[in-house]
Order: sequence, then C-alpha cells, then structure tokens
Amino acid sequence: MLNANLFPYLLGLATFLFTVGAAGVLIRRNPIVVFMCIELMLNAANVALVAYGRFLNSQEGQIFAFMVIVVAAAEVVVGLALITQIFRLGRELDVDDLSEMKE
Amino acid sequence: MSVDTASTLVILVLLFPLLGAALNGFLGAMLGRRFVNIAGTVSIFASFVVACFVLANVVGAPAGHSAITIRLWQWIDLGGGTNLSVGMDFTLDALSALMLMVITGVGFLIHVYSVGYMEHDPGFARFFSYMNFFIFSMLTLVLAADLVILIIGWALVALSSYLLIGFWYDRPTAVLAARKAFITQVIGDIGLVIAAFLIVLNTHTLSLPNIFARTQTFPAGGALVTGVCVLLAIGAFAKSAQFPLHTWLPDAMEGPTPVSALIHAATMVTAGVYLIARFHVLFNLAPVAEGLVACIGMGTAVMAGIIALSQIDIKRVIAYSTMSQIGLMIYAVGIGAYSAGMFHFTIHAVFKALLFMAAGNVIHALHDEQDIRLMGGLHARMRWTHLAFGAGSLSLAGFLLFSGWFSKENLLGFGTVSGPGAAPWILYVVGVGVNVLTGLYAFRLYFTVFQGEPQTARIFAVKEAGRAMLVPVVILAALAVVVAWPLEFPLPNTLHIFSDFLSPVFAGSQSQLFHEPGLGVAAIGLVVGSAASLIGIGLALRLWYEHRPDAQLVLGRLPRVLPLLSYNKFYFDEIYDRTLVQPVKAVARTARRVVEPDVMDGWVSGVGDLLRGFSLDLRSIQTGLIRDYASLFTVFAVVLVVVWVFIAR
Repeated sequence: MLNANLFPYLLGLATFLFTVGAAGVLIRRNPIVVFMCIELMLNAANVALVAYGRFLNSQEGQIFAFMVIVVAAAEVVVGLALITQIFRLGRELDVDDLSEMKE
Repeated sequence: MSVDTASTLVILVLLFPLLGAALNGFLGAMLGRRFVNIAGTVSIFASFVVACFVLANVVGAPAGHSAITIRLWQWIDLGGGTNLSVGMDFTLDALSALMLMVITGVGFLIHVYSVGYMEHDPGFARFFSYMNFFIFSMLTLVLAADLVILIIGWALVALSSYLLIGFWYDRPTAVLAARKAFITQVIGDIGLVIAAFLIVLNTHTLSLPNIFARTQTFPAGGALVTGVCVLLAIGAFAKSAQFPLHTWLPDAMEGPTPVSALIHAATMVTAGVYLIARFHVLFNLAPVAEGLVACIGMGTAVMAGIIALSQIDIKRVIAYSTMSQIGLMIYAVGIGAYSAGMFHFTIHAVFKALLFMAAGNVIHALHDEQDIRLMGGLHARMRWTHLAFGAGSLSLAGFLLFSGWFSKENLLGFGTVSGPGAAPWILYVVGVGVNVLTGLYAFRLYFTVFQGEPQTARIFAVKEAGRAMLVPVVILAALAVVVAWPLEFPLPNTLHIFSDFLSPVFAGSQSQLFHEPGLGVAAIGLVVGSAASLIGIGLALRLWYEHRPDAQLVLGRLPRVLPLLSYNKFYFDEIYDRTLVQPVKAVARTARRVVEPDVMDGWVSGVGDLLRGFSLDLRSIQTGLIRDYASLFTVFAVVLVVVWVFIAR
C-alpha cells in the first residue's frame, strides 16, 4: 500500500516529464527527437492517470493508461513511416525545413 | 346574350391572338416563314370572326340588354374588410364590340400586308409575335370591366408599341424613339393610376360598371371629379399623342410601316379617345375638365396640321396628320359628342391604315427612301397604290361623299353649338380651319409623291408592290370610299345607324357642353365644312401641282416665323431637351462622377478592403513552421488552463 503522501510527488514527476517533453518539442528540430519528446509527454500523462487511479481507488486510470499506450504506438508507426519516407527522398531531417504546406 | 355565350366569346377573342403570339414567339424561328405567316394572320382572322359574332350578339340583343359584364374568375381578393377584389371582368357592349371590329378587322388586313412587307426581314417571327401580342393587349384594354385589367391592358399596349418601334434594334434612332415613346407613355400611366386610386378611394370598388353606378360619391363639378378627369385625360393625352405629350408619335415612325399603320394610326393611339368615351359618366360631371380636353384636342389638331405642312418624311407627314385627326376626336369626346368621336375613330382607322400601307408600298418600292422631295411622278408606275393613296387622301381631307367627309362633318356639326365656355362655336371655327389645313397637307403629300416629275432616276425603275401588300390596300381603299355611306349622315333626322348602335352606351348621362344642332345650323355647318375641305384641296392643287407663281407669292408673304415653326415642329423637342432631358442627364452625370465613386463605391469596396486587410494580418501567423504552431498551441493551452483555474471557477 503506497503512502497517500506520495501523490503530490507523483504529480510533480508527471509535470516535470511533461514540461521536459513540451520543451523538447518546441526547441528541437530533429523529427526523431521531437517524436521521443511527444512520447515523453504521453508517458507523463500516463503517470498522472495511474497516480490518480491509485489514489482515487479506481481502475479507470490504468485502463486509460493502456489506451494511451496503444494510441501512442499507432502514432509512432505513422510518424516513423513519414520520417523514413522523408529520409528516402534525400531531404535533411529538420522540421523547420518541412514547410511546403504553408502556401 | 347569355353569360355563357359572352364568356366563350371573350375567351376566344382574346385567346387566338395570344396563342399566335406564343406560337410565333417560341416556335416561329424554328418552324419557318410559311408557318409564321399563317399563324400570325389566321390567329387575327379567327379573332375577327369571333368579333363578328360579338357584334351580331350585341346588335341582336333586345333593347336595353345589349351590354353584359361577365366575370371569368376572381383574380385577387384584397380582403381585410375592404370588400375589394380584382376580377377577370370583361364588358361586351356596343362600344367594345365596335372597338373589337376595328382592331381585329383592320388588324387582320395589316397582318396580311405585313406578310409582304416583312418578306425579306430575318426577324419575321419576332415581328408577328409582337404584332399578335399587341392585338391581344389592345383587346384586353377595350374589353376590360375592371380598373386593374384596364390598366394592365393600357400598359401592355405601351409595351408592344415599345417593342415594335424598337423592332430594328440595331438602329440607334429606333432604340431612342422606342425609349422616348415608352417614357412618355409612363408619364400618362402615372396620371391614369393616380386617377384610379382616387376613384377606388371614393367608390370602394374596382369594377367599372359599379364605379359608373356610384358616381353620386363625386359631387358634380367638384374639385375631386375634375381632378380625376384631368388625370385620366393626361393618360389619354400620352397614349393619343396630344399636346403636351405628343412628341413621341413622329419618332415612333422609326418602326416598320405596318406597325405605324396598326399601332400608331388605327388602334393604340386612339385608346385615349376610347378611355374618355368609356369614362364619359365621370367626364359629364366635370365640365371644366371636358372643356380642357376639347381645347387641347383642337389645339393639337391645329398644331399638328401646321407641322404636317412642311415635313419632308412621308411617314412623318402621315403621323402628324394622325395626331391632328386624333385631336379632332379628342375634341369631340371633350364636348360630349361621343358617338361622333367614335365614328371618326372608326373611319380614321380605315383611311389612315390605308395611307400608311400605301406609303409603305412606296417606301418598299424605293428601297426604304422616305424623303418626299426625292419622289414624284409615281402615279404612272404604281397605279393601284396611287389610286388607293388618292382615295385615302380624299377621305382624310373630307372630300364630298368620301367616308372621311361623313365622319368629320358629323363631328364638326356638333361643334357648331356644343363646346366649352360662353362662345362654344369659337373652337368650331378653328375646326373649320383644321379642315382647310387637312386638305392642304393631305394633297401636298399626294401631289409631291405621286404627281409631277420624278425627282430621282430610280423612280423609273419602280415596280408595283406584290399581291400580299396590294390586296389589303385595295380593300381598305374601297372601304375608305364607301364604309360610311350606310352608317351615318351628318344631318339630324337622317341616317343614324352608327350613333343609334352606340347610343345605349352613352344614354345614361349627357355632357353639359353637348347640344344637338338643329337642321338649319347642321346644314350650314355641313356646307361650310365641305367648302373648307375643298378650299384646302384647291390651294394644295395650286401650290404643289400647278406650282402657280401667284400662290407661291402669297406663301412668300407669310411671316418668316411660320414656316420656321412648322418645319421645326414648334421646337417642342428642343424645349423638352433643354428643360427636361438635359437637366436629368446633368444630374445623372453628377451622380456618376461624385456619388458613384465616392459614396457608393467607397462603401462597397470599404467592406472588402476591411476584410482583406484583416485576413492579410491573420495570414502572417501561418509560417509553415511546426514549432511555431506548437508554441502557439502551448501558449493558448496554458492561457486556457489559467483562465479556467483562476478566473472562471
């Protein structure tokens, strides 16, 4: 049985991980790193969900966490496929370079 | 006649021309010339046959039952406690039967003539469609027994007239003439519509028989009834080309000649006479308005007669003579001699249609030459046309025993004792002067065109018109000689079949201006009038056939201003141009220069500029950089959370 006092620390951990992920998305230009940062943000959300579920005595938090993992996996499949395709076109992997859709 | 018979006759007489217009308009160009010629003429002939049945029914009806008003269906119920309803109401009586006969009879002959005249025109289907439609509109106008239907017919004839004047729409002059005619008509329409409103306001009904039955709501001689009658007269003046709304008629000669014969001589321009005759019950209550109508009618007759003396376009001379003759009719209905006015209308329809069609033959033979100074000597080359034109001119001038003599002397005979003011015969004296003028201009035209030496070489190559154009002319020429003989004799207590036929229509009330001349006065009037016509013809003979130097000398002694006024049509076009057309155009130009670019455009493009500027500003945040979007997204997400946590809760 975990101590209820741990709850704020778990939320603090989730917030820290989310901030690191968001900062990475905003700052880094390599799409693979951006993807890793998005994964980091999703997992921060997972930590928060599980923590809430545990301290509210509910299974729903864990169920949602599984949902998030599945969605994240699907997202990575699509994202990595895009990145490989861009790489095969011989383009530099830089998100700032990929702005043709603007016009 | 029973209601069922009357309904059937009304539906049929209106249906045939409308059907012809629709067939020619929608299918004519596809089905070809032969089809259009047949559909265009047969529809009017069918209508004419129905009109004959109407006439037989009206004549055969027992005394006192010759008029019948039918309601085909109720069109609009105005409700709201007003008790007003617009019905498809039509009247069959002696007056409408007479109008039907003239419109469809003369109309049919002119349609046959058009087959020849429009032989080489590519717009034949459109032409016959418009002509059929005109007949339909005119029949609607004369049959209407409801104010709204009357006004619809009134406006539709103006529309057909507009379409036919501007028939050759690639000629700028024709388009301008059509526009001028239509605008003048609309001025008259305003008068008619305001009069209609005043009538409805006071009688609370739209049905003409009910209106005439409720005239006690108008105090006799009061300002109200006088105003209504003056407004009605303005409508009539615009339609009938009377001073001061007359300037459109000569320009309307830009249309094809059959159009001039049908619309601008025989039928539409006499609608004003019909209107006053139809509303005679109201006019009889307003002697002041009647006097005004009589004076303007006679004034127009003199003015148009003087102008006709010096015009050089063959059709314009006849147009001014039409204006002058309609002036006489308007004078007649103004002094309350309604039967006389309608009689002159009938005879005039015959001989004026004849004159126009004979002139059309000449114009056709000379390949659209209308200048009479370039004609002359045509009598040897166009024998039948020449005879017909001569018969028409004699009838127009009122030569003894020609139809025009009967109708015009009959009309002027009533003028000897009837008329406005203390000295009613003054207008009669002017009318005798008009007789002289008529003889003068009619035979100036005849002598210049058909007698004398040919003025150009191409006269020698002229051939007589084809059969389709000649037969109607010859029929009308025969009618112009004899048609009046069995109808009316211009002396009291003699032959009066025509006025007896119309008398039930006008029996209800009598004008205060109207008096029946005695036998002695009428006989003196007859002699004076006939002599005046002969003097006119004789003067024309000396001036333009024999070219007598002494006669020319008399003409030369006239003040210089007279021929100048005559040739320039009393400068009405110039006056209207300066006082009305140019100021309106100046206002329009100012509006285009100032109001349009600064106010209208400023406001319209201001809205556009505002939106465009806004979107341009907004566009700058679309950088294409994913990290920018993510930053914005994050910032707004944080703002949203902060708002939700600290403010909204």
